[in-house]
Amino acid sequence: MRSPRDAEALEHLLGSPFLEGFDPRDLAELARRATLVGFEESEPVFTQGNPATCLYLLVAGAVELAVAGKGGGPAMVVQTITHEGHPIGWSAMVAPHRYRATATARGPTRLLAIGREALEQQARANPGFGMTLMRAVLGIVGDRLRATRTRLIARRYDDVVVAIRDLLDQSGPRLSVASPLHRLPHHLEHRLTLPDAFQILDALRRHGDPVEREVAGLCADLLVRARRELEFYQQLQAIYQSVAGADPTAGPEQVRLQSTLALRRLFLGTRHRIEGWEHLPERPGHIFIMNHLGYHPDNVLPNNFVLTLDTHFVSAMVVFERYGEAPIRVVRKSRPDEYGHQQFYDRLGYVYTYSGHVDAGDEDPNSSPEARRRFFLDVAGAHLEAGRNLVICPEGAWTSTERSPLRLRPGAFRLAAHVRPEPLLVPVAVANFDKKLTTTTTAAVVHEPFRLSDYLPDLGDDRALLDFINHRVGPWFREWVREAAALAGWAS
Amino acid sequence: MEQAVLEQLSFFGGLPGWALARLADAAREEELPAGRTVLHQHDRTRTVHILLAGALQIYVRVGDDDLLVAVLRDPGELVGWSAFRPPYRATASVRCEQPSRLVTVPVAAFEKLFEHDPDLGHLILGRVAAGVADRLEQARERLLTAPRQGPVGEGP
Repeated sequence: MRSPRDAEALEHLLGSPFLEGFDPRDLAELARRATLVGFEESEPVFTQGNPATCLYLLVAGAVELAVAGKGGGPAMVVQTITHEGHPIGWSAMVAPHRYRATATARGPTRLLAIGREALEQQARANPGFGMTLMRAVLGIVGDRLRATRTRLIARRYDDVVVAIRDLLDQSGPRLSVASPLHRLPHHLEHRLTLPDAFQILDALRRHGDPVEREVAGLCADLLVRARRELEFYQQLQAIYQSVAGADPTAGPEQVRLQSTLALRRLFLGTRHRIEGWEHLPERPGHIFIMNHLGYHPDNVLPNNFVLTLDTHFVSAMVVFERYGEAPIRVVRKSRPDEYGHQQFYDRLGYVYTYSGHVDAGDEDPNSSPEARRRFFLDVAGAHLEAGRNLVICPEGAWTSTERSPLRLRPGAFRLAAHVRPEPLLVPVAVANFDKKLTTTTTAAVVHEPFRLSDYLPDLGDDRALLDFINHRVGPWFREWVREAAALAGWAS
Repeated sequence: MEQAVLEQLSFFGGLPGWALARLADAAREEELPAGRTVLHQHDRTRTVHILLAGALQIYVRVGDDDLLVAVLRDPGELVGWSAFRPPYRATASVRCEQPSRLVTVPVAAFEKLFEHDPDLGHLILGRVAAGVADRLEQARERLLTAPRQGPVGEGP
């Protein structure tokens, strides 16, 4: 008589695509010898190089397979197994019977474990079973070889789409001509159609036929990084939309808070380093001056607007973290054709400065350069006097980490000289925000704040101010950015 | 061909004399020049080849390019394992890197042996699987040292 435990094991064996075509009597015998085992998140199932004593079938959860090279170095994830009934640890059936990868549970996971000894005994008792088993093992090892070659193609040709085309090509004889998988390479060509690609993959991994499930799984493994990048991009899109499309009745302070919280969620998912917390002033109402970095082309939104992540990082992860309030940023006024830029910044209540590209209209209160300068000093000064922090990039333009900083312009410093009580200037050096944030480590380092009056006896002496900016602050910042880059590099 | 040729190959080690004799009857030895293609990727495969001497390149076609995925130099290495499993189509192409000597065996000869003695099926298919597993390890090793993959969905 069969115990409930055996019945459950048999059910899993009968449902496994790996054991399709096996004699149910053999499976019933195996069920008697199989054991259900549970693993917690990150718990190892087996380790590469160890004696392979068990073959496992996935019952629930997920198992990640990673391999380390002979020359050492970090292990590389080669596959994540999520399909019920999929075999793990086939090395138990293949000489020299040592595991050829490390298997780790991803989330709570249940496996059906069958000892190598039990399988061999069964093969001795029924040679037909042994042969069928080895044919199935050969099939699974062959599939892994094919999957690895596909990944090799992706790396060698620097293009995962080429690899997926090749995989579909190879799967041609088995794959239905009507399969949605054939649309995959086209969807992968463009960022805006990437979600469609993942939708197809997710649907087929759950509901496809056996070949579609297998190929979709291989494609999904190849596209792990692309999916992470897509999720990052979709977060950027959502942040933009939450600001540009905010309820018309929402005030700037509320919109700033919502976007800051969303940006914090975005940055918490990235690798970053922040140092110099001890330099932050106790109370707000100061000017944070930072170098300004460009953007990775992958961050450009469909309306050509780019969220410059360095300033958002300092605002959300440094200033907000310390004072619980999003700072006011000083941004350049949008050019007339920059609808995306304008829709975003108009809602945040930031202080605008005018670049040479922008002609102020008649209705603009800043109809002359001097009036604009005065307007800027008054508006920004009012924020400081109200105890709000300002974030300003004195360069007025962005560049790469390697070339940063550009020449500093005097606006932020003139503002500091203009406001009473005199605010502190809090320098923040940032690095790597011009790189792909999904694959790099960024850094922000806060340096000791200073007052202009600590260095300039006469704050009205514009020549001395320019001299101070060019010959003191500029070189300081160059050094600070190098340090921030080193910190990011070290963290990588 | 001579049974003694098979006996010296580790792949056939431990097989009973009658089995070796049947395989030797079906097998033939081939001398192939450098550059000659042994297997074409995607072709239906019904023969397996075992290297006696020389070197074989395994490569996959990618667009107009050939990507080398392995080089076999050890006598006894087997190519054409796809002949043992559906859909019986070569997953890669194989060509001679240098003048090479091969033993070619129709897979039908193996299948007849397996029918007669499934234990031999278990043994031989296990050896084939071990060979493919070794090739998998080589491919993974190459993957670990290959340059990083590029982006997808480039356009904004």
